[in-house]
Order: sequence, then C-alpha cells, then structure tokens
Amino acid sequence: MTQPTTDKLMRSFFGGAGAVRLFVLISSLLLSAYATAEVKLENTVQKVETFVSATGETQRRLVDASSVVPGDELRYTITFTNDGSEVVDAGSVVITNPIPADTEYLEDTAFGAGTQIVFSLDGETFAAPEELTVIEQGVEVSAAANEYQSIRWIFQPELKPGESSYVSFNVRLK
Amino acid sequence: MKLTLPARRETGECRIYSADHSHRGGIFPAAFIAIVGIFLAGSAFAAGTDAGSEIQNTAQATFEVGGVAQTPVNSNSTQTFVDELIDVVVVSTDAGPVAVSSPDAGAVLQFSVTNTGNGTETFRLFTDTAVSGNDFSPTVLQLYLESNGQPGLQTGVGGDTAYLQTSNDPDLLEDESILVYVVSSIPDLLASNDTGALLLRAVSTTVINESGATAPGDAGFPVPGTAYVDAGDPDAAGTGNVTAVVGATFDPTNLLIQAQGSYVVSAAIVTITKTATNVVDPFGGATLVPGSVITYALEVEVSGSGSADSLVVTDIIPAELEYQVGTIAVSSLPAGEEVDDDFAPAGTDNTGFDAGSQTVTVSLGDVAGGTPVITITFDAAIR
Repeated sequence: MTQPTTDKLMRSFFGGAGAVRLFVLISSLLLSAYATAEVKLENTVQKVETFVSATGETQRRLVDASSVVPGDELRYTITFTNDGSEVVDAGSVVITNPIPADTEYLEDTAFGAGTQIVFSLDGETFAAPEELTVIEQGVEVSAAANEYQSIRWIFQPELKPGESSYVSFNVRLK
Repeated sequence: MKLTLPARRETGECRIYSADHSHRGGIFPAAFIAIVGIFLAGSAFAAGTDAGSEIQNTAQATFEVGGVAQTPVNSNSTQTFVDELIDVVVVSTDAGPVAVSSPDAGAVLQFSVTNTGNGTETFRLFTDTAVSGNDFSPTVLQLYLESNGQPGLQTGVGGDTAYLQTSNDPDLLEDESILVYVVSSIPDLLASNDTGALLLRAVSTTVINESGATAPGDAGFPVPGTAYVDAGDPDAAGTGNVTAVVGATFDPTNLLIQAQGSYVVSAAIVTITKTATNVVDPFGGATLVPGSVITYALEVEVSGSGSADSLVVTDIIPAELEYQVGTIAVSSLPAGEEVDDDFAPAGTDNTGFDAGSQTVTVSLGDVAGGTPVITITFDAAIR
C-alpha cells in the first residue's frame, strides 16, 4: 500500500488524534515502571557574626559554626531537592523543623521563597503567629517567638525533577 | 516546738542606737546582701547552655506525587558543640567601707566570687593593695573561703578554710558562688576617716595556664573573645574538649573579674555577741521543750579610739519565747539606770522590758573605746 493509504487506514482505525493518544498512553505506561519520586533534604548550620565594616558600619555575615557560645546566633538552612523523575505535586512539600533544644527561635527570621510559614507551640498544631496564644495569669496573650517549638514551611509550587529550593531560620543559643 | 540552741553569734534581733559616732557593729548581717545586676546584658541566664553540650538539628519533609503521599524524608542531623565561656564576677559584699581602728590586727573585708560562665572553672585569687586614692595601704594577712555554713568569718577549728594560693583555689560550677574573706592589718597613727582600699581579683586557672598572665596589665592577659582551643570542658560526645572563650567580664573598660573593698578608720566600733549560756527544762535537764528556760547573754564591746555615746542596746524577744520577769542583769550600768523591768523613774531609768514591743532595752550611756566588755543577761522561756 502507498503511504497515504496507510495513514488513512491508521486514522480510520484509531481516529485522528487517537493515534497519538494511544502511543502516549503506551509510552507513559512503560515509563511509570521506572519512575522515581524522591526528595532529598540537606541541613546546614552557620553562625551569624556581627562585625564593623571598613566604613564603620555594623554588619552581619554568615561564618562557620565551629565555635559557638551561649548568646550566639545560628542560621539553619534546609535545602530540598527533587532527586526523582516525577514532578512533586504543588503544595505538597511540607518541611517541618523542631527548634533545637537549648536554642530559641528569633522572631521574623524564618524564610522560604514560595512557602507559607506556620509555627507551633507544642509540635502538634501549627498556625500563623497571630493565632498562637498562651495564657498568662489568666489572660490570653500572643505567644512570644522564643516560645515556638517548631516551624513548618508549605511549599506552594510544584517541584520538578532536578529542581531544588531552600528554607532557613535563625535561633539564639541559650 | 523545737528551737535550735545557737552556738555563737545570733544575728538579726539586736539593735544598737548611738546618738553620735558612726560605727559598725559586728552583727550587721552582710551575708545575705542580694547580688543583683551581675547577669550580663542580653542573656537570659548568667551561665547559659553547658559547655560541651551538643546542639542537634534535624528537619523532616513530607510530599505527594500524583496525589499519593510518599514516604517522609529526614535530613541529616547537624551537630554543634557549645564552647566554654569563661566569665567570673567578683563583688564586695560589705554594706560600705568597713570601720577599723588604728592600729588594727584583723580587719575583715568580704567578697563574693561567682562563676558566670557556662563551664566548670577553678579560680585563683589575688589581692592588690596599690589602689589610687588610698590614705594608707592595708597589709593583707590571710584570705579565707567560707566553708562552715555560718555567716561571717570564723577562724580556728570548725571555722572557715584558710586560702593557700595554688593549693586550694576554689573550683566553681557554672553559676556557683563562694564567699571570700580578706583579713588585713591596719597601720598605727592614722587619722579618723582615713581610707585604705584593696582589690580582690579572681582569674580562671585555664586563663593563667594558657596565657601565662595573671593580671590585666600583664602581657598576654586575654580580652573578651580570646579563644583557647581544646582548653574547655569535655564535649558531650566524648571526642575531646571544646574551645574556651574569654567572656565579657574581662572587658578592660568594665572589668568584673575584680572588685574593691575598703577600710575606713573609725573612732568607735561596737560589737555585740549574743549567746545562749544555759538551758533548764521543766524536768531539771537541758532539753529544749515548751517550758524550758534559756539564759541569753549579750556581750557588748566598744573598741577604737573614740567613744560610743548614748549607746542603747535592744533585743526583741521572738514570739516563740516569753521573757522571764525580773531577769535582766547588767554587769555595769551608768548611774540613774536601774536593773529592773520598768522604765521608772521616767527619763532616768531607760533600762527595762517593754511588754508592748516585747523588747529588752539597756541604756549604757557613753562608753569609751577600750572599756571592759559589758555583759547583759536575761531569761526567756519557750512558750
């Protein structure tokens, strides 16, 4: 048969776009047997150092956390990477980091591009700072940032294979 | 009801009134002066997290693919060891300049030494009598470390420990304090109100061993931030020692590692020692039970070159005791005073027992320094 006739036959058998559809269906079925869903987390710590610059200004920079003493400020950075071949659903990457013992969270230092950030006083319930309250002498007051026990970042976009992003927060060593 | 029989000094109940000279009695309780303000600005605790502690951080992630929840993932765990901060605060705990005679063989200054760092440290003590502004230099005879649980300095058997530099340098845990007594002799022929001050300095032996220096003026003496690697307390993992970092108390513009105490030559000094000299219980024995009668003795001594004028000694009987009528006795009273409970004739007899205020009052008039010790006794029964 001639080429055009073959095409006609194919089309008449599967329908116009159906041919493409069937091939895509077959190929995706084949691929899913080897697809991987993997997110890797890497956690690093640095110390925030205050110094006076050449122009006499007080500035901050991040240095190695090799020598820390009570009162020092530490920055934790958690990098998350899609190491698999599947796209990770939008809004599904949730990173939770309990505040380390002997440290206290520093207000307004939690950061994460594209994330919704919530906090917890007990490690179980997470909410925005405005909604976190404690009872002090019978009166309900806003919880102080240094009372937070845990932080949670909810990453809004999807994470494609090979993509990575990071979240961070600062604490003070008690 | 049980009462403890006091062994020697009893503080807090005697009062002295003197119209003229400023003086300082030996019973003023210097032991419990509140030490506030030694906490470094910006830190919630004086000491902070223990040196050698391990700070760990781990994060966890959950995620979904195609609407299906995947196995949660943990990050690595970061490990950070807390270094040791070396800090010490020395403060003078006397209420003010300590009154002394001239000459004086045993004038005592009291200081507290507190480890405000976050690790255990041994501190060597130094004194320095070359203080600018001194009218005279005290001669330091001996330092003592408070060790027998009784307020104030007691020497001899059962007393506080004599300090021997390098031999019994005090070892302090984070936030631990020790009281140090400095006994000096005061020279002769000084004028009233002449002052002589001295400094007590505490230096951590880690600093001395690492720097070779013992005083802020010495070469190599550290400033805040000076770090000695491996010289701190052991780390929590047992892998070695953390770094020892010198803290803010070493700031040369605000040195907290030393403090000044001073002596002032005073014309008259009154000391009162109260003891319980006898107990008779209802059964003829010496137990302390309701009904037991305790005899108290107040020994009043005026020393120095001047005179304590219009000296009145009062002792408030506590609620648990009942003053025994007619038992006041005084070894030596001025003319006009009567050894009885009443205050009559009014204006003349100012010695007696005031039931309203439960106070034994003895008026001794003008007592010159060097007068033999006057003894006041009275009885009180346990209610």
